[in-house]
Amino acid sequence: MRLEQDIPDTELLARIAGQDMTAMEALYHRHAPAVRRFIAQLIKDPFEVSDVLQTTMLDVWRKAGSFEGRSGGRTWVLSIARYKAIDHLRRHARVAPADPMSETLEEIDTQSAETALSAAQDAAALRACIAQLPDAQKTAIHLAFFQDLTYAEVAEIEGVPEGTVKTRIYHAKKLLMRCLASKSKKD
Amino acid sequence: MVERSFTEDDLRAFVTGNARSELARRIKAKASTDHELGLEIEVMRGMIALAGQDRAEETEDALGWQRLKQTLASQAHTAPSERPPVATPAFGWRAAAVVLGLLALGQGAFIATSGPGDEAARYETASVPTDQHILAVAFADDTQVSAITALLQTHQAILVGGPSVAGLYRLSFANEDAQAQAHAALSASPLIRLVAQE
Repeated sequence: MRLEQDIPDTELLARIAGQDMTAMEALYHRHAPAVRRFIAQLIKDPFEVSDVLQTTMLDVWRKAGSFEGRSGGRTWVLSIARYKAIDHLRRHARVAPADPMSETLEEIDTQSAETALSAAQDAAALRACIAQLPDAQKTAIHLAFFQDLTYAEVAEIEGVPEGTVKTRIYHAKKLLMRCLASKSKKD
Repeated sequence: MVERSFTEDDLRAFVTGNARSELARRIKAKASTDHELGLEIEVMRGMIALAGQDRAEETEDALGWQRLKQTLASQAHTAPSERPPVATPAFGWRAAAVVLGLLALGQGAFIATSGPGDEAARYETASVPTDQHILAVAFADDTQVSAITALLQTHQAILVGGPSVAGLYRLSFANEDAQAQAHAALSASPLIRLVAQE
């Protein structure tokens, strides 16, 4: 007998479409932690994160029949989560942080790059810089590096061409480098 | 954008250890003299390390599943054409019965609204007034469900959310006075481990 953890997402989703609660439980436990982390990148209040996770999973249950298998199961679930999170922010009229990083890209001089290297190895500094990224870039970084998705999968979730995702990643890294260089100068 | 020697795919393959040896050799050589490229690679490696930390710190989301299960179970008793008119939020194994009790009072419901053509339903907490008077609480570990139910009813508190990652539940009150009185009483209650005003 196969264990639930061995069953591919596509099969679980097919069973969920047939109202199989056991399959839903398996899919939930497989993906909820990652989906929660993704939502938490966009929404800070942990209560609201829990609520958006719930509405995401409710939609997974209700819409599993529309899953066509053209993307991976996790990509599909994250697409729903992204929609739910953005809808939540829109309905609550959240505004962007007052002072997000400027998107102007500047070259980093050699000395700054050298000193920023140590900051890049400082987890707290890197995390703080990621948190300051503009939302589109932060989401791209999170999906690619924290969810370990391919750029093509990120593009599918974001509904943009793959080239746009790569450009966002490129710009995000430049902003992170500048942020880290700035932090290392302050220390 | 400045001209680049390597593509995003190249660099990602390199930092994840999936680059062909020739490509890896070229990137290494370039990074040894190009400090900006060296920093860029270090940033990418740093993010991968952070992701590993996050995964290691993930906790089992059993309470979240219990809450969803209650919601789905409540929908299962509804005619498909009416689904999902009311979804029952259950806030964990200990609070599940509390929520059922609250529903009996017609409180604490999530209402999903979905019109024709709506791609996705929208969910709103129907019971939370516009001017929210919310306390965040953590129940003591050994608290019985019946005791929690009685406590919430005594203070006319409505369970409207949670649990958060910290195990906090959100209680809504009719007005500021009720909230203040409940705050004092709940702070002194042995059933409550923590009370905080939002």
